[in-house]
This record gives sequence, structure tokens and C-alpha cells, in this order.
Amino acid sequence: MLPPSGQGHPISAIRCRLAQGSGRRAFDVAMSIWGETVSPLANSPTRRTPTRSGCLVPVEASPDTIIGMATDDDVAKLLFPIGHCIGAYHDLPASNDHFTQVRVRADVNRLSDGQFAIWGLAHGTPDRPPEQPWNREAVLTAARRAGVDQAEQVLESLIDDGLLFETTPGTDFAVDFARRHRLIPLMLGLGNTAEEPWIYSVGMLGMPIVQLSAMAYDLYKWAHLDPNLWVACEGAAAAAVRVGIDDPLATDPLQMLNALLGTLHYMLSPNAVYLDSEGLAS
Amino acid sequence: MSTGSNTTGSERTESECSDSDETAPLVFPVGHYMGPFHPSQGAPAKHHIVRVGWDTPKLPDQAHFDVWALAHGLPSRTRTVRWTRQAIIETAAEIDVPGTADILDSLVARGLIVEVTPGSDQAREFAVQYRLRSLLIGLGNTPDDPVLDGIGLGGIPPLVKVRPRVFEIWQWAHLWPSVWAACEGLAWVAGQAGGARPEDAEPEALLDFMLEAFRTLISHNAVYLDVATTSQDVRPSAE
Repeated sequence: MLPPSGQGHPISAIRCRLAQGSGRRAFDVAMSIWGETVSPLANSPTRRTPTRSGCLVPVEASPDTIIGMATDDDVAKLLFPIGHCIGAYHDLPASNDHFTQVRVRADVNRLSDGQFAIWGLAHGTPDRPPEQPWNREAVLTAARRAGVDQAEQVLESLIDDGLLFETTPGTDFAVDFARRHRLIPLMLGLGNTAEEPWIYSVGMLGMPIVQLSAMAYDLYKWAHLDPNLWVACEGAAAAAVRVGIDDPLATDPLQMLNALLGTLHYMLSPNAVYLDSEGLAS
Repeated sequence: MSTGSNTTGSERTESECSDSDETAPLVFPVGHYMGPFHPSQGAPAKHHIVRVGWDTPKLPDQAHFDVWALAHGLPSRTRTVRWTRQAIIETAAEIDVPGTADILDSLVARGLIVEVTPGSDQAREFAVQYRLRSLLIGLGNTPDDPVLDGIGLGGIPPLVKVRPRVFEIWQWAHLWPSVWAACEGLAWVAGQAGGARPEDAEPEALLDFMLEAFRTLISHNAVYLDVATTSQDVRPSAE
């Protein structure tokens, strides 16, 4: 459903944003899960000092700082986490020996604290400015500020292990990324409201967490049933054509994919979705 | 159907419950909730949407939504009450939902609710026809409580904490195209490990346990039931 004529809305296409009033919660969701099980962060006195945004793990680099350290290609290339968080595993009572499990397809990866911190930070921070891409430098800057050792090496190893994936919207690489991965919802759809029927929410009952445009909500509802994200974009675009929508962001699968990738971290950071490698039964 | 909250659920199975009717079918909701739909600004909700496979059957009014939601089970009651048709009718009466029995019939007919008799051939048919899909993230265990694993959103206390066998169902069962395939797969894995108990290594026994575990997981929206996936299951084309 598109916004009423003359009431263009900032999330009228493939866009998403945090639900009103949920920023603190969503930010905690996105960050404290990583921080809680990352002992260097958990033990850091700065972690217990909420920042202006409510972030418990300081991520204070400005967009200018991040862009200044990266090449144009690096900026354009976005970094995405792959896998479903299974959680911490403590083998013995009262022991700090642990690892954190992330499932990709049928494989469970055991992550150290540093690996889990980087993987978690790759989900993004919901309060980042919309114009700030969540890329390698953004994650590394956040990781360094959080005190993660050898962040760059850890990030590279996670890419090698298929737990992180870099891709550039608007290129063939983005289509390749979409063909390799599936988008899986982790929350309930909460529908729209009489006040803003062009905005849809996902979350848990009584707890809206992310707000989506109709097209993004459509992908949230259906994309995981397709074999991969590219097939989902093609199917959604074909459906938009069938019902007479003439917005190329809705009818062109490539434009749809690019728009989705540009805002996907808003869904990833509060764990509203996860990306899995394609290949298992949908 | 649990609302999101900071309260932590704890897990028991329906075999530990005390409902007197031990033979009545268990009632489960089917589908992924997609919320109310308001067709225009200022308009009331036209219906509530549930996704089931490639279809979106509608809950036409609040009463239908209430009964479908109640079919998930109330976490505070499923520990002690077998969640049967009668349990739903009695619970619905407490909140003055009209016509619950007829609504249940309607929801069953439209595939939004399924009734299952554990240990029967019908349970096996159910397991072939439906699959599990998992929601939320795993929070794992803690040094203070290594026995129970949390499932939730992260950043707030777990929405539910479950024993490892239930957690494994949440973690793995959704990877198979049907509940029965999951039973066979998980039983095979348990058998390969050696020393597995029959209730872990035999698909039929595992199904019985899964039906118990489903209630805990579904009542907290940690999983939902969907129709089984088949090789012919592709996005519908233009009509």
C-alpha cells in the first residue's frame, strides 16, 4: 500500500526505520546481546555508562571519521552478518569458559568473544545516521572503540568463514549476494495502523520494533519462502507489476534489492531478521 | 500467545499437566501472524492477516483473532492445563469472547488451527503435513544457570528459558521441510551419537516429545507452525 497522494512519506519505498519510542530498546537489543557475552566489553567500565543515544557499547565515530579512513569502494561496499544467533554456551556452572554459537545452514560456528563482538557489530547500530553506510570501516571503528583486539584480522577471518559478507549495492555483486542468501524473519508482523496505514511494524505483540514500508513488509512476509533473496525480489517485483504499481523501486528487482540492502541493517540490528546461506529447504 | 515482556518464562511439558481429559486432541495455531490491516487512513482494521504457506487467510474480526491467539496457549496455564478445545473455550469465556466453539470449527476448516492427538496415526499425518519455523534468537545458557537455555530478543531477559532438548528443537527442527522429517533427522543424529535413549533416537517417540515442546515454544512465539514445504512449493505466478 502506498502513502495517500500528496502525503509522501520517508519510508514510502523500500525503507525501514525504528518504531517510535523503540530506539532505546532496539539499540539495546542490537548491542547488549553482543556486549553481554563479550567479556572485554562486559568488563569495560565504559559499557555501563550509557551514551547520549542509550548505547551501552560506545560507538562514537562520526560519519566523517569513518569515511575519511576508507576508499570510495570501501564506503560503497556494505558489510552484512550471516547466520542465526544460537547463544552462549557455558559448559560448567560458575565457569567463565564459554563460546557463542552462530548457525549458518546446518553448521554451527563457535565464536570467541572477539569474533562474536565483530559479528554482532556487523548487524549495525539502529541510531546511526541514515546516510552512514554500515561497512567494514564503520564496524572496525566501533570494534576498536569497544576494545576488541585485532579487530581487522578477526573481521577478515569471519569473512573467510562465511559469517560476514561484503557486497556493493547497484552492482552484479549485489545480485550474487542475493542469490547466495536468504532473508529470514525472526519476529511477528504487527500490521499497519489507522493513523499511518502506509507504515507497517514488526516486533512482538505490544512491542513494535521496526517500521517498514509496504514493499519492505511484503519482503518480510514472503522472502524467506523463496530459495534465495534474489528470487524473492524477482517474485515481489512481478507481483507489483501484476497489481499495477508503476514505481520502479517496486517493479524492478535490482532497484528493489539495492533499496533493501541500503536499509537492511535497520532490520538486522534489532534481530528482526537474519541472513542465512541459501541451500536448505525454504 | 504471549505478548512481549520482560518476564521470563520457564518451561514444563504438557505431560506434567493435570488436566483430567488426557485423550482430547491438543490444539495448535497455524501460521505466522502478520497483524491487522487498515485499508485507509482512519479506517478500522478490516481483518487480521496470518501467513500460511503462500496464502494469507484472514481473521475477520477480533473474536477470531482472540481465539486464534488463545490457541497458542497462555504461558501461565499451559504448565498445568492440557491446551485442548475445552481449555480454549473455558479461557475465552473468561474474557467474554462470543461463539468460541463455532470460531474454533471455522479456524480448523480454514487451516488456521490444527488438532493433534499424540500417539495416534493422526499425529503422524499432522507431522507430515506441517513444519516448524523458528523466531527470535538464542541467548544460550549462563554460568549461573547452565541447565536452561534462553530464547528471546537480546538486550532484555529471555522471553522463555527451556531445557536443552526443547532448545534443540527450536534450534534445528525448522531446517527440515516437515515436522516428521525433523523427527527422523533429529532421531538419526541422536542415534549416531551412541548411547541415545529410545525417546531421542526413535522418530515416533521424538514426535511425542515435540508435541509437548511445541506448546512451550508456540505460547511464547518462539516458533510457529506452517504447512510443510514440498518440492513443488514455489511462489504462485500471475493469475
